[in-house]
Amino acid sequence: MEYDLSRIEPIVKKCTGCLICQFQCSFQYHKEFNPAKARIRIEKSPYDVQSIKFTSDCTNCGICAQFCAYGALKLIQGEEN
Amino acid sequence: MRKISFKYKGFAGEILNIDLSTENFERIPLEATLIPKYLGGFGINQYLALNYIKPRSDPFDEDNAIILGVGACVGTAAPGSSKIFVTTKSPMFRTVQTAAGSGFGYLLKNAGFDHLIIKGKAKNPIYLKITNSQVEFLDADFLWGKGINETTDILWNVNGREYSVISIGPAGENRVHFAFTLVDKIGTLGKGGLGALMGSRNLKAIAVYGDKGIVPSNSAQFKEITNNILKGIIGYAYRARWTEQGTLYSWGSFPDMITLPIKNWRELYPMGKAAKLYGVKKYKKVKRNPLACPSCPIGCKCTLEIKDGEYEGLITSTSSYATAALVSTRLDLQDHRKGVYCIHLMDDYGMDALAMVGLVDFAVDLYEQGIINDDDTDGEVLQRDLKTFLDLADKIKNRQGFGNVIADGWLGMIERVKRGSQNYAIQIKGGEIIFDPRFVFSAEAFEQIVNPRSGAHVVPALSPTIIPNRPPEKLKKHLARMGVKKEVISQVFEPEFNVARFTRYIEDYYAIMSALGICFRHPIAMHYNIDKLTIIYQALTGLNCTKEDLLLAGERITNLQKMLNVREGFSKKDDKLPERIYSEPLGEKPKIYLMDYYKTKKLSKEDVIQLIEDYYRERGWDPGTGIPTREKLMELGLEECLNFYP
Repeated sequence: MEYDLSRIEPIVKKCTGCLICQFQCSFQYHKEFNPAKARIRIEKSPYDVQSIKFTSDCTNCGICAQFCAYGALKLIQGEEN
Repeated sequence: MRKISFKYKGFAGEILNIDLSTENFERIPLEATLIPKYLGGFGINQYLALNYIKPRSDPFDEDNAIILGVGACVGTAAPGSSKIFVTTKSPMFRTVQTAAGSGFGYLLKNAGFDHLIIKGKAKNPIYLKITNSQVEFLDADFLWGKGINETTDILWNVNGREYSVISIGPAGENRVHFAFTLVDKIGTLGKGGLGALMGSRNLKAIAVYGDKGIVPSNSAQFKEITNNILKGIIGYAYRARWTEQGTLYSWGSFPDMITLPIKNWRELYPMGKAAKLYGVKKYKKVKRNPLACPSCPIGCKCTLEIKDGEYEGLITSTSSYATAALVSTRLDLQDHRKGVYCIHLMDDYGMDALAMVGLVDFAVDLYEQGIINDDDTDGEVLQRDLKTFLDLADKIKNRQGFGNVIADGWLGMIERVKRGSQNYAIQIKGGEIIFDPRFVFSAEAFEQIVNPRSGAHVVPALSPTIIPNRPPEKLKKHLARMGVKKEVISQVFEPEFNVARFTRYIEDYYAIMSALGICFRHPIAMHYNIDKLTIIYQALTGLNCTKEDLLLAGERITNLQKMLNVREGFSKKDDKLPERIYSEPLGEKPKIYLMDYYKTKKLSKEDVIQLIEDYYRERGWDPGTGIPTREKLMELGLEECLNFYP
């Protein structure tokens, strides 16, 4: 199941498709660099990034936003799970 | 899923060896002994070329292997680590040379392979599909004749957008010598004719996907150092400007270092005019969004969209808007949108726009000088304009009429035209120069003389000397961060700065960067140094190594690349500047003559030969032949090359 999280706000138009978020996420939770295992998914269209989604096991830890160089992932503070 | 155990971490541990003729493949274990000697990617490619490229073969011979290698750090979060390298004998340059690109590599490695070796020729058009360990040879009849954009879109539709695709266009199918490939419709790869080689083998494309994962040897250490580098780049004061301006960054920030030769390298296009017509403001009008290679926090690539005028609605992706700007100046297009249209078309045909515009400029010069006439050009009047460019591009990609002559690149065109045409060509080893040494005799300009692919060189990438008149302290600091010892640095500056000797150390350092697969663009490369590279390589692979080991490996890689071409018959006689660089000034007001880097004195041909010999001596090569000595080969453990001497 996939759903959009409230704490990490994706700004798709700013995403360059660098996959740094997926490298960081997979390393954090699986101890390996493997975009396929990341809990954040950058889906590309023929010329751009089409969507940014999160898998159901995303913990909102924010490591993806912490290392996003392009401001495409905004960490919304102050909300409790 | 099949995972293999390899002595060193960070590698997939296998090479995929493909025979297109039989549609068979084998998985060859990567030899662990290669890791300390050649480090990875660019380095191991040279070793594989030693064993898999048939010596002195015609580039189109089926035994001329196409060797693709993935840098050691590719597929990790090391910033800017996405470089792939293709080593093969080039139809354009006729040397055994290596092209660099990005993308594709992290998925190939995740599929389980560090290198691909492709030999043979398929009976009918095919494309290769690699999904983890599964390798398929699939029909590509339905793709033959199609442009790169449509081909890639179809393969994404058929297989999924998660695949990375290297594709050729019609120019590759028709063996145009400067036919390249695009990775995912954006990353140029192999302007020395990789597209032509794939086309000649009936190989339309390669699609790859993998999800095996990469685990460093020392995860904590690797994460700490690469994340610190990433934070450094994110915090870099000019990063946002790089993302905004991409490859046009230098136009906006260092206009004095830009040289825009026109009229076959006789005159200079006024920088002010170029900036107004094609510069940053115009770029912003067509730029839709930045795009980045995997793991890159800079994002210098982009999608372009033309919103008005004749080409309204055109959307294309490019690794370099600067190429559109350069094409625009060479043809004096007066409209940046026309330049964008040109590079879009060249990308779709699958041929290098810079080589194309240089060759058209050369052809027009020959026409104006009366060397060729209407009989040669099928009656077409050659001019530096959009019509001539587009007409010739169409004929070249289809190898029709005069296009068939230009399609053979600089060397082939000179051989076909004869009539003294070589005296007009600004080329070295079949490649157009990119850095005019008359403008600034930088390491980049010098390296064009001694490397196997002229201005298209992969190393030494960029040094501070690309900007004129940098203080010696800056250059010394650059050498120090690359691990060059103090006493050696002093020698490079005694009795005066010697660009040739300087170049040697830049080359060896960037051979290491390339073996690790790290991008050499300034905002990335400036955040690395030899100490960081050593820690990264240790943490990734588990190899107990020092920075001296890495530097020795860099030197070994450069020497092996040289010996591969000694085996092909290349020597000092091939390391030379075009005669016109000595005999003609660049521009009219002022007239710019060939001078040393600091512009203290004019340089003669004899002076440049002296510099070339200085470079050979700095490398421990024979200054009389330009070939590494036996002692040097023994010192570097390159005994395999001892029988390559002429």
